[in-house]
Amino acid sequence: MTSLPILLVEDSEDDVFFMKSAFKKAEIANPVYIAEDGERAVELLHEARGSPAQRPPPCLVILDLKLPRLPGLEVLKWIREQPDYRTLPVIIFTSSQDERDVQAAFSRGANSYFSKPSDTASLARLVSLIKTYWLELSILPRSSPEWL
Amino acid sequence: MRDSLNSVSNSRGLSSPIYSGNSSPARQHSSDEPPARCAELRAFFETAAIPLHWVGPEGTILWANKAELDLLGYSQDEYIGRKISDFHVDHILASEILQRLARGEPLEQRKAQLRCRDGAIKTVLIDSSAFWENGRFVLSQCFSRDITGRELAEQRLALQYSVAEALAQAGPVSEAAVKTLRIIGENSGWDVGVLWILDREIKQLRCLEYWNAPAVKFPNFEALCRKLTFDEGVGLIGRVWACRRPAWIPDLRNDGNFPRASAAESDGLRAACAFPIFLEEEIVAVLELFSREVRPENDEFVKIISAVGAQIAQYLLRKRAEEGLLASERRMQQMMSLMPIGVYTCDASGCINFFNRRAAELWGAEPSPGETEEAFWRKLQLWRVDGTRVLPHETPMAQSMLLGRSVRDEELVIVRGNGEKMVISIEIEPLLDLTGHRFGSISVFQDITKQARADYMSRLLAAIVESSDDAIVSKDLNGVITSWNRGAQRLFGYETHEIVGRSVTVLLPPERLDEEATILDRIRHGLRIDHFETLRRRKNGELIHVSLTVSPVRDQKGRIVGASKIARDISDRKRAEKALHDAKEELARANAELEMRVQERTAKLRETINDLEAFSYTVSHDLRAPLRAIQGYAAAIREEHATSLAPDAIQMLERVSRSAIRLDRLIQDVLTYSRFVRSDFDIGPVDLDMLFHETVANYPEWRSPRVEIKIRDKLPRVLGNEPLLSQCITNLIGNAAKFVAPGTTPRIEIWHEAAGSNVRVCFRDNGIGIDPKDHRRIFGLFERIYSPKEFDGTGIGLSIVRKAVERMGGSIGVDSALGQGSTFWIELPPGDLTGR
Repeated sequence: MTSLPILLVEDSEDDVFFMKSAFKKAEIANPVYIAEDGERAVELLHEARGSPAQRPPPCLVILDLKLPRLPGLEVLKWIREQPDYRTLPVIIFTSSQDERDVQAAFSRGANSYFSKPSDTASLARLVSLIKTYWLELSILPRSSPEWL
Repeated sequence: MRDSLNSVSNSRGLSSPIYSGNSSPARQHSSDEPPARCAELRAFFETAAIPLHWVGPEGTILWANKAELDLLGYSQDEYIGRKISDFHVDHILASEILQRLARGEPLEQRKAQLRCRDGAIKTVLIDSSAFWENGRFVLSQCFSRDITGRELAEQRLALQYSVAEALAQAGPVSEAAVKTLRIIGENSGWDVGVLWILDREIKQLRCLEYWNAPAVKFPNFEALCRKLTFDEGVGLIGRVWACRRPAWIPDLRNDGNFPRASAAESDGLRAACAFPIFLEEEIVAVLELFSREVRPENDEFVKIISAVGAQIAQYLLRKRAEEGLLASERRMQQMMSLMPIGVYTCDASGCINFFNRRAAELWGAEPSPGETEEAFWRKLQLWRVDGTRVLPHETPMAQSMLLGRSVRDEELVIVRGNGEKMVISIEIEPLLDLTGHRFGSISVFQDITKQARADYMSRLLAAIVESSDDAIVSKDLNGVITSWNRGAQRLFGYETHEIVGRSVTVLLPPERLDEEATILDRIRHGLRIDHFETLRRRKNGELIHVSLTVSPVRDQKGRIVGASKIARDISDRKRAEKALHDAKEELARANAELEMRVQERTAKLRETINDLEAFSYTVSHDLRAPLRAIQGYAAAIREEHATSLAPDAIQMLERVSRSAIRLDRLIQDVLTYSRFVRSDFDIGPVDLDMLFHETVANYPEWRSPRVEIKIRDKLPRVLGNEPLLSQCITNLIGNAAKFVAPGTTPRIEIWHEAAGSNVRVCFRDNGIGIDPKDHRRIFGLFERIYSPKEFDGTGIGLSIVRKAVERMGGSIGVDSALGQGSTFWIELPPGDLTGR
């Protein structure tokens, strides 16, 4: 379980850097897939389904909304359309605090929504929370249940 | 008298009484026989022309000469030897004469009436003296002079005179009839008189009056007379009626045509005569007389009564005329009384001697007896119709009186006792007798107030119609124009004389001729046409727009007799309407254009807003990202390379971090502010107390002992928006906690109070205070009083609060002075109207 990777969909290299630092600080050992745009994210998820040995599917997606090529909400929509990814936790991690974005994200099946903190300390605290909740505590169904 | 007797006796040479030798009474009284020596004297008297008889002391006729016997119509046997009183009409007179003679008093020119053998009465003058022998009254000798002719003439005259007098004095016809009957009866010795009147309705004679001599009664006969009526030809009077001449029945017992015969018989009536009374050749009455004695027909009497009949006829004629006059006068008076106009008459001196009921009503008063019309009218205050006063000598009454001429249709205003004004029209006509002499006047007057008012109104209306700008035209039900005002002349161009009498269709354009039929049809049904807009043609052929209002005109009985038409020239209005229409179209075009522009603008604005939103999105996302990066890398360097960096480098990196953080906050505040400006917020009741505690709880740095927050009492509900209010609380408490002198523990007291109908929530701090000159500035965007070095901040916090409060319909203010702390307050509508 701990070995499963985290998919970080983030076009900002800076944010990728800070997230990785934060992961390190929070002692998150999971491998991290980085997708720098929406299309790449979909591609990666698709690949992971085809050859789970080389590229196992992620246990968590951290998704920025404002992305080149394919916007985050489209990526989320695509994920929820895939039967095998229907229960995949998707955490929106974006700089927008706009209510409309929050509404849109949850209505498309996001599991959580976080605004990017402006300082390192806050980010570290947030990543630590994500680790505790999504990687250690929460239990998710293995496959899509009938009712979904 | 004695001498006279002697002289008469002597003059007549009567020395001895005449003796009638072959008369049986004379033979019976042989001792009284005259001496024979008088035989030649006797022969003389026997043949004398003067009637003479001798009467013995007992009243027996001893002898009578031929003249006497001829006069009375008796033979010697019938006359001589009988009592003289048997032949006198008046028995008493006969015995009186004898007594006088017996006393030795001679009789001279004594009038007496003697009955003839045929029943006629002869009037004679008797001269008589007694013949004495040995102191004994032996006989009387009587000379009679027949004066019947003279007497009759006298009698006729007397009768006529009496009748004339009676008729002249008589009142009603019946009274005259009784008087006449009495006079005739008494004068001529008839016992009963009846006056029969021809009743034209029933064509029969009926009894008008009955009279009989006072000494006797004829009850059966009277009753019958009063009861019966007679047809022409029936009975005595019927015969008179039929024959148109007098009739005489000497003895009723011998007459076959007398229906009342038995009554007459039982009451002892014997003779009758009847006389027609003519009025203009027509029998109007019959006079009938009855006597208890048989009476031969007497031509002389017939003549007398015929003359009397003519008098009665004259009387009846006069009476009829009088009655006619009376009736006509009564009719006249009645007519005058009932007349709906005032009528009064005056005598020659101007005194009102008659007025009818209407006159008194109109006057509202009644003239007192003997009051002159001039004096009476003066009391009523006379004015002319034009409002000027009529002076006493100017009144029509005075004029008529003074000049004796007629006044015609004089109009006056009178003020009656009750102050009411009345317009009257008066006519005065002098009354002239046959000689042209004025003996009075008759005046008629009537109340013409209504007419005068109506006249005034109609003149006023006519003036209004005439001066109207609108064309006012009347027409009959055939569409023929009957009146035409000046407005019509102006509008249509026709003069009145050119158009009156012509059909209204001359005003219609040919293609609209059928409109007139429709209009007239509506008018005939009593309907009006209101503001019918159409085209009409002027005299010069020009077409004009008119608005027609046509109403039926009714006569006094309500029948529709025509129509009045008001035509208004609406060409100007039509032009104006067209202009208005054009303007409206232009406006509509402009509006459409404007609408398009607005839409364009709106689209542009929406685009702008979208851009702005995209911008703020970009700002929030893209601008903050590098800041995070700056801050993040600075932090990373400090943490990961702390050992290899100089202490001032670490300090500089901290500044980089702080700047980045501050800029990020600034950006967030700006975004918040702009969101407050442009977004829509739902306003509703908010539990301020709960919100306050929740908000404060989110900030651990405000907890005691770092900051002392005291809420006096439970905060009320207000009308607002929760996120906005939360933002306000955060900012205000944040400021209060921040702007304090170094080393001072911020103390914040919060309470609420009423401010008019709103709720005011106050935040008092023990901070550094704000100079009043800065009170307005502090709510402006980016306004800062202190440098970031003194007090950190973006300068947007209070602007956000102000904007938020404004968006909730409230207000914000501050009371503060430097070093005195500040009290910020916000006012909002109460959220719990019912709960307060």
